[in-house]
Amino acid sequence: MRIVVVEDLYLLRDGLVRLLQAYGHEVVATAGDGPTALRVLREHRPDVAVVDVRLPPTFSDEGLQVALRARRDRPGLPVLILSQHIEQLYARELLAEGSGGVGYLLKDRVFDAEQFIEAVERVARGGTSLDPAVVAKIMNAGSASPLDALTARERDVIALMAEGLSNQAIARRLFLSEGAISKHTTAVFAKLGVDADVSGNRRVRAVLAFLGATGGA
Amino acid sequence: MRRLPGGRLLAVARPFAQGAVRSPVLLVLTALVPGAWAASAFFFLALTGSAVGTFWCVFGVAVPSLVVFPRPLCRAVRSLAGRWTGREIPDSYRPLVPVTRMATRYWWNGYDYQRFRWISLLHRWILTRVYDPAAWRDMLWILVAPVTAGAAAAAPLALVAAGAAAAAARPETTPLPEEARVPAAVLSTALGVLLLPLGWRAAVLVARRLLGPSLLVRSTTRIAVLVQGRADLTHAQEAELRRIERDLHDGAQARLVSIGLSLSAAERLLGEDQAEVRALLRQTRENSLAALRELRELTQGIVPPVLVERGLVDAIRALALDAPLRTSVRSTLERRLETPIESSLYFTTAELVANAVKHSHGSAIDITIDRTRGGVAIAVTDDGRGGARIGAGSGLAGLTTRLRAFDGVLRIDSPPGGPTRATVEVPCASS
Repeated sequence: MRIVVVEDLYLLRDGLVRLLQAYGHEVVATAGDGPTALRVLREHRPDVAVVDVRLPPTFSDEGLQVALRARRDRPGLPVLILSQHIEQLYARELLAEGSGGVGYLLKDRVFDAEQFIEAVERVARGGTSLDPAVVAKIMNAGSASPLDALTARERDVIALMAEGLSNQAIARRLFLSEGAISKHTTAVFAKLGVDADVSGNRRVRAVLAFLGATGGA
Repeated sequence: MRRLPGGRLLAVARPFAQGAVRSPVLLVLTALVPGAWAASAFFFLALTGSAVGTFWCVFGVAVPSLVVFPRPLCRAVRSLAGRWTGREIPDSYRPLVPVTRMATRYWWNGYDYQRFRWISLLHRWILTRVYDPAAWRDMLWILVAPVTAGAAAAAPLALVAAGAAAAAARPETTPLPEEARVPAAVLSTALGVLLLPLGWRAAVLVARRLLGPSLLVRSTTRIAVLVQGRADLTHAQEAELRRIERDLHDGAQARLVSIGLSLSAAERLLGEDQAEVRALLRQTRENSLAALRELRELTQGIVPPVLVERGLVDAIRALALDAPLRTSVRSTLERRLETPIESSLYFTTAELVANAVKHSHGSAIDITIDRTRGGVAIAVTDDGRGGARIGAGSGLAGLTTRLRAFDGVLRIDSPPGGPTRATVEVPCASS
């Protein structure tokens, strides 16, 4: 896969490039600040971009803004956002337009190289990959009216689905059969009002409903 | 309620009626002491004409009246002016020292020791009227008020009275030519009535200037608040730095040492015991993850990253999303504020939300962030059981201290049974 890495700290950028190359991916370009990142993303049209949230010159959420703008230019451009902290607010903004190909992970996750690479590949394929930390926050937060309709098992399933796991992986994680999981996912889709006949990624839309379920701001 | 047809008329007449009541009240309050003097001077000088009479006039009436009357009269003017205009005129009397009996069996009243309690009380009563600068300002008011506030309040009344007198006078007793008499009476009365709503307001303006705390008192009070605020701030800052040092020392630093140890052990075992090396490396990874987690919690406590990246409103939105109660945020704040104020407001709001979650037993929280005149106001309202108050040692008292550095105030409105509404207001200019 052709990947663009956007990260301002040299050590981390270098490490990420090495890691991705070690798993046979091609890093076509890197950038260390917001404006360069936007130019590079437009020029190279990568299969997926790995972007740090905080970047120069402003050291605010420059990376997030670059990712959002790049996805407006090129809808569906797969982006995996990395950050030292996880905010539901950012997750919602990333997923807001409803197309897939979005990941949002803590930087810690690169410690588990295999899972990280899996997440990158999943996002490149148009899936989602939300950090377990943000999923846990959503599960714990406020009153969650649509989620209340779900059984405990179905909540487990939607949480893992939000992390980006396939039915097969969910089945392995919950020690259930794949058939059981697919029954649960069908129930979840129905309860969250995600119809099969509308085009687009059903799983992504279920995750979106899951994110929106907390109501809030 | 059905509106009376005369309602409009009443609304127009109201300020004039108010003036007609308030002007004479102020006139009486300001003219009382000079009036008493004039009356006694007249009595003693005109009727007796004696030196003894003059002596009595000065020492029997004038001096005592300056000791006895100013305080109650000034209190009355302050309280009336506060009630009429809705804006209090604060007084600045020194607080009275309670009369207490010392081990010597003498009574201490803040000024001196006295043998008997009643003498001590009397002594204190007199001395507070001599030594308190506010008492001297009261005396000044008594002397100045008749020709300023009193005159302003009296002017409309005098005009009306003059008009009435001119209208009622017999032609031969007025100095005015007969054809000017009626127009002059009408003009004078009309002018007086028109001035009715203004006269007492002018008098209140003078009262506010003279009866409010003097510049010295205001500055002294302000300095005391600032000194306290600075002390609080230095202590808070020091405590915060020590907490950070301790967290780093016991947390991330210790983890890094342990990571170094594991790595050197792994290096030594390399090529000898594969399984052991693997275990050491896994342990190292777990340690570094834990160090990262601890550092993240630490930075969250110093400045939340989302506050740095997005500013106050989005940081509070992020806070609301993570809150375990349903929390809504509404904001009319459009620009970023000074960063210290953003920080302070964020942590205050976080504390108020945490309080609501812990103590309110409610189900929803509503946060509003509004630009006010010259500042920002944040209100955190819950639908819980109420009964919260700012008490010693409570978290709310800590918030008050934290806000004082920015001249911010915290108000809690929390009747038993709820709802609780906590409002934070900080004066600031947006950057």
